[in-house]
Amino acid sequence: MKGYTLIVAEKPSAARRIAEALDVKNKPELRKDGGVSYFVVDRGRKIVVVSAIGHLYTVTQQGGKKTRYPVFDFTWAPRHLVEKGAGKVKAHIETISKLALEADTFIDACDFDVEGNLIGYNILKYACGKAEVAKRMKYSTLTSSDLVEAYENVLPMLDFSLIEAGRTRHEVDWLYGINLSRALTGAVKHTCGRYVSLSTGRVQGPTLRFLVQREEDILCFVPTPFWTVKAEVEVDGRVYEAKYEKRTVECKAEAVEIVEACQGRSGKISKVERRIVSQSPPVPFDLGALQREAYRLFGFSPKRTTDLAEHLYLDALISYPRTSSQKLPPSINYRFILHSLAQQTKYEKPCLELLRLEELKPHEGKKIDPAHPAVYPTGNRPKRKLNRAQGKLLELIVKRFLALFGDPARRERTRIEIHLDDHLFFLSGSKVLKEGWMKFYKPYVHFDEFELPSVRVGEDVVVKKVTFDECFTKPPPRYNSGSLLKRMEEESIGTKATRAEIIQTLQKRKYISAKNIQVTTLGFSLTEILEKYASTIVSVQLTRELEEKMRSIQDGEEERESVLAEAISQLKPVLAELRRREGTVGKTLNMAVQQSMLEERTVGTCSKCKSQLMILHSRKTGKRFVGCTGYFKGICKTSFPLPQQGLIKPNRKSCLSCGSPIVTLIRRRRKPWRFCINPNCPKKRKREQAIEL
Amino acid sequence: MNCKICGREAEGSYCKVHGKAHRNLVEKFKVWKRALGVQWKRYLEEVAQNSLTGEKAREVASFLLLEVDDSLH
Repeated sequence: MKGYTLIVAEKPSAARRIAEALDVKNKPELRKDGGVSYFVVDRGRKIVVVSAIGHLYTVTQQGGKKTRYPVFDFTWAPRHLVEKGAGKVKAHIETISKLALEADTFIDACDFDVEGNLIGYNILKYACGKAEVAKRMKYSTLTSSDLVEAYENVLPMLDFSLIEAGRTRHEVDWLYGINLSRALTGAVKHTCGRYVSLSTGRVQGPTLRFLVQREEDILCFVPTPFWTVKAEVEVDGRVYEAKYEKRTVECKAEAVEIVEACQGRSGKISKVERRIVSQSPPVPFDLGALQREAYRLFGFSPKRTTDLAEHLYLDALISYPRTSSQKLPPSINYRFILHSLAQQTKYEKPCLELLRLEELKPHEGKKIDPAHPAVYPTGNRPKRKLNRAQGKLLELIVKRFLALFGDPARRERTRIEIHLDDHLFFLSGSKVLKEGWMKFYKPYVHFDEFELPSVRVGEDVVVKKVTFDECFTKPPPRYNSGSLLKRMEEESIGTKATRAEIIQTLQKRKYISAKNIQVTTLGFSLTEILEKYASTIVSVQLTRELEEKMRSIQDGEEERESVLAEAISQLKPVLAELRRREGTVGKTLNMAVQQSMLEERTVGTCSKCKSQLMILHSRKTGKRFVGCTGYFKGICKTSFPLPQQGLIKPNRKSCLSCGSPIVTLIRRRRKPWRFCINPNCPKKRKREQAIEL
Repeated sequence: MNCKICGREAEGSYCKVHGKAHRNLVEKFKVWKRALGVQWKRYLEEVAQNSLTGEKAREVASFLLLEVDDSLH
């Protein structure tokens, strides 16, 4: 076989879809070489479609010891030579290189974004040596029609400005990551002789700092009292709760005075105000909005949403999800998608309703992405059974798409003002007049309706009682994955594709814990050290500026070399300072690591002696159990057995039945199991008895 | 100088976080005094008992209460 077109795809499933779409009979021939599959396609001329498995090349140090820093010399190398566990990469590079020898035309068909462009470029440059002559297929969905169109209208060359932007991002991130992580890890190693993998990075640092700042606000929070005054009024035999005109009263004496002045008085309706409010449909999903909505509705972490959306995209069920666009151009053919969706029973009714409209115009947002439109369903029916999470996400994307074409929703807001002598109270209610887009987006949207009675100005109302409640201001809420993602977007740090992974890395490094993100001792210490000795690393402004410069490379306004030089000049003094303070940095981090390890093993407080209950290992058998630290002082022998398999995580909560600590057992391929550590817990006994009966 | 509460490095009497908690306590006393007419000791007792008070603010309040008690003795 000689003289064919070689198409490089980003993932095996994308390669299969491209091959099936381009083959005249939709049945490409599957061949294997060294365990790597590729497809031979007949389309008048021969086409070979082969895939990568994500990045096959990565940035690495050029020579020298792998622990030294600072290190500013780098090169691009095959991943299997740099990373452990990347053995499959070698076979892919060898197969692609072999196939490139006989090919005469080269097409990059990786995803059309910064990462995809870089993946394709590296393969075409290093494995094929044809980056300069290669062409580019650009598509936003993996549907046959889109793929054929992308092949027929192939772009004459690669997008080199996107590639430069991608290369720079990888290189800058590598420079920051490798140097800072080596500085921190080395500090602990040299000072305390302990090896602990510590890391920080260009985006990780400022993100952790947001979390630390919020945690400090919560830890240092002092509540202040305020009072709310309300009146129970009876209208048409129904009792309503009217609020006082001042939503909060800041002085108790004033609240008492209001209540005393209003007690026993009758009320008179002084004003009835009705207002019609129109609410526009939501805007199409960009990746950030999809991640936030999936977190709000289903509790999916941003990383999970990205992975699920990636699966749906590879199954040609939705368009490319890594987009920052909130626009849907008519070229995607709204009517065709709605017709296709109408073939599925559950979407038939709403789709037919929309198809009856003369003109279909989606409500769009402001954000633009030149590479891709917003996320939308292709209308294809799933060919395999989707798992529950994938099904939920697909339904959300479909319903959002339908909602975009709906009319604005209309609500009526009513405010009834009631005078009790000189004091003003009010009732507020709302009802939906027209559902509009909301009916297409159910059950993901709902309004709390509260209908008020119809009354007239001057009408008397019976005031049953007037009271006040003492309240306190609340601390700011902790960040969750969704709100942190939003903050990162607002601060313009990271990219749509990397933000979710940054959050995941912070969790993996044990700098943060729990769903409502809480910073660990280690996270606090690391931020404190970086703020003290490497303030530029945690500075949002500097990170944002660097981010903007990298975006400018994409627009051809900035040179890769100058951005790299700036990153190095920022890093040099920071690394020198960390080296100078190595002793202090090492000691502080080591203490934080020890404290964190202790926290991970502490499950709660002993009910007998109030010492700490910890996960310990028996010296004789090596088995783990929960033991009271009072044992070491000879005052307590409390202990509880634990399962020996899986990972045990303290829950920081107590059993409602017996007050013993609750822990979570995490095992592979099983649901996490939360249980009370007390085997004699009355709740457990009750359950056992019920089973026996 | 070390923090009077946790012993960590401090610029004044407290470390960075306890210092912030102390500043908050002093600032919010004005609001409490206006709202309830309470005195400093009663204020600290109320704050130390309130479940919404942050951990560090509670530590500072408890520490200041001990100081108030000591000065009375």
